Amino acid sequence: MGLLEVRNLSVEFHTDEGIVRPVDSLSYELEKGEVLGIVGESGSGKSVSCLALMGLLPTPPARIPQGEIFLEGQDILKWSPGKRRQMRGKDISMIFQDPFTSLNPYLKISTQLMEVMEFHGNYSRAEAKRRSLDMLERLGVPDPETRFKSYPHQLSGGLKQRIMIAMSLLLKPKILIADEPTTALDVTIQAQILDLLKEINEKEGTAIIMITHDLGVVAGLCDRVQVMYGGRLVERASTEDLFYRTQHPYTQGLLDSIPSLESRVGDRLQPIMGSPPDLTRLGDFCAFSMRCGRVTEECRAKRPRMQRVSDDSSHEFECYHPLQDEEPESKRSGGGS
Amino acid sequence: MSLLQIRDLKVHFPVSRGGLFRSEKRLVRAVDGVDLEVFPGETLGLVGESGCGKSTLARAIVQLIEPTAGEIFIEGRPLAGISPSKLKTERKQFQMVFQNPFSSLNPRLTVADIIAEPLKALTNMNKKQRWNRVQELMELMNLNPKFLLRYPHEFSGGQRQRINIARALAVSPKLVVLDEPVSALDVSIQAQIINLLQDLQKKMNLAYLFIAHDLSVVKTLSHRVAVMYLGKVVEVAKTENLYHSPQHPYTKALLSAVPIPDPKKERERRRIPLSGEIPSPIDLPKGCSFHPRCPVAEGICRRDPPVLEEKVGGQQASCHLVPQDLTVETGRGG
Ligand SMILES: Nc1ncnc2c1ncn2[C@@H]1O[C@H](COP(=O)(O)OP(=O)(O)OP(=O)(O)O)[C@@H](O)[C@H]1O
Ligand SMILES: Nc1ncnc2c1ncn2[C@@H]1O[C@H](COP(=O)(O)OP(=O)(O)OP(=O)(O)O)[C@@H](O)[C@H]1O
Ligand SMILES: [Mg+2]
Ligand SMILES: [Mg+2]
Repeated sequence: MGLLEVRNLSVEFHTDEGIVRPVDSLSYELEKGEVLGIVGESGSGKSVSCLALMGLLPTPPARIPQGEIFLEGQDILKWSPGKRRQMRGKDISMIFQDPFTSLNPYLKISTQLMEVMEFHGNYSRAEAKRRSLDMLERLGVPDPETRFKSYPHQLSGGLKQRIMIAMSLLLKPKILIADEPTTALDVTIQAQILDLLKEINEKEGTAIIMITHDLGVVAGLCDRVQVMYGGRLVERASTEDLFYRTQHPYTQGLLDSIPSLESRVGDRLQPIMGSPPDLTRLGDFCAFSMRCGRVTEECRAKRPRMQRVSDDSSHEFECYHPLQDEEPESKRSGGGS
Repeated sequence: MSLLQIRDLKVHFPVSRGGLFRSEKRLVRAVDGVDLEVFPGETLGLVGESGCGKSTLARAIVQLIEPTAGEIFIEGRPLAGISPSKLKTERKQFQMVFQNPFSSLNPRLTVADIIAEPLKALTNMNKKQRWNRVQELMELMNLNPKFLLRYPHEFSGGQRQRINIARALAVSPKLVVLDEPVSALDVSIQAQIINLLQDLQKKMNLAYLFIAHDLSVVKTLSHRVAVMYLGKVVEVAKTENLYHSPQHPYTKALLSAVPIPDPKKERERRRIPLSGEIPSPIDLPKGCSFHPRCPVAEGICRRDPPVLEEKVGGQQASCHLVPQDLTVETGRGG
């Protein structure tokens, strides 16, 4: 059994328009020491599924109608709120997508960082302070002593983000969920933080779930990637397979949308046509069928099942008409130039 | 004539650094002498280190914070000291999309009210006209009109940012300051929005000041690009020039750190590492503020601050070690 195993997890929100199901029978595993990327469209349930792991969904309106989440073999959905609280930060910690509202505007950074350590550990104040400052320094925060005494509104977006990252790493969790951890940062600091995450992953064996829209970050950091669409997993593969032997038309659509450094002013990008699916109206059909160029009757009649590229492959996808059916060698592979 | 001109703009924030025995008042030099111009219908990309003052500059431009020093002109008219009613008209020209897609939406207002806010504050439209305009904007942003009566917390990051952009476009401004408008979006919606921004620009001759960390996105949208470091512009050039022959060592490091969405290429990519401590805008280093991390710094860099000047190759950079273009410098004369 892996470090983390999610089985048939669904999350529902009860809204005025009906029941929204942003996570729909999601299953996956995470091994110790692994870096798993999650990519996919905005609103496809990436954050919500991870908040469910953390036990941080607001209930109501959220509800978990089905599913299990095993952490080292134990179903954490059955744990008491107190036990889940103990788990957070220590076993699983999360860098939230939204650094702005997750810091308390009325408390100094120092208070917020040290609170985390005092809640969980037997750290003295001095020890907690030393370790907090140390972590800020490792994250390249200039003049950490001054930042320590600041309030959140006095810090730039990038600084707030690094405070959040420090907070999530302080207790050396087994699993780190990083929800868009570097989107607010410039690329030189992003590189520095990704190096640090890699180092923590390699030295301390921390498994990382990396949620990101930046496929360049995925390419550099992740061992495996899963692609989400409409609350479902539509493809999962090793990073190389996903880029070079893409199966699902949605994944291909994502790859085609990326602007290139070679582009020129005024170049048109190629987004996926159509708009995101209505999460109140998903049923037993392919969620991408309304936008897919390869759609047939079959796609609208029954949701495809997850299938493997071949029996001995770990590359899986949910599609009746995968791309590699016709193109034996992807045009993306090689990377000669 | 330029639509927006900024001259020697400074924004300093007082902060206190409390020690055990003494507490000193000090200044964060968030924006420390910036000159920039934006022309009608053009996009000026603005990139730079996290915390270098991009958002602060943006806020000063749209009059959300008072600059400590310097001047801002709209179509040649100075903004300083104008009457409140004039300011209202001028504010319609410049709208802003905020960096933070989460807290910049009032949680107690519906989407319709949020988008109608600037219409209410800055135009004489009646309720019906506002409603129609809001509908139009929802369509433009590819948002389902049935979302109109919902509240911000019910939306994903990407959806919220589209609501933000719709709000900024509501009063048909001439310049939109976009502070990281697409960084929260998935690449497909990002591509849609970039195409949309380009269409709107052509249709309405809009100018953008486009702040972003994704240098590929900046390249696709911008006619010119300015690079900031610690409160100052260190390089500004036509987009092609800047990407093909960056002059300032910071620009070079920045470009070398862009992740490539291709696993083989990405894992082989060499980046210029920036070592050394990132200086704080409180204790600015002597000389060139980039010197503590600069891979090529020399003696003069530790002594004298460089100025932004024309360099050979037709771009402006502030670096002692990049040769100056003397023909241009003498021709300008004041
Ligand atoms: N409190 C809530 N009430 C109703 N719907 C919600 C609530 N929170 C989230 N949702 C819906 O759940 C869906 C999934 O949201 P989630 O934040 O997980 O998306 P995401 O994949 O992380 O997107 P992004 O890439 O934009 O961050 C969205 O459609 C959102 O509107
Ligand atoms: N109200 C304030 N009081 C004190 N310092 C501030 C205040 N607002 C911003 N700063 C400081 O000014 C500097 C510039 O911040 P700003 O938000 O403009 O940076 P930025 O370039 O937008 O960064 P990012 O890319 O991370 O968003 C930072 O050092 C920040 O901590
Ligand atoms: Mg999210
Ligand atoms: Mg900013």
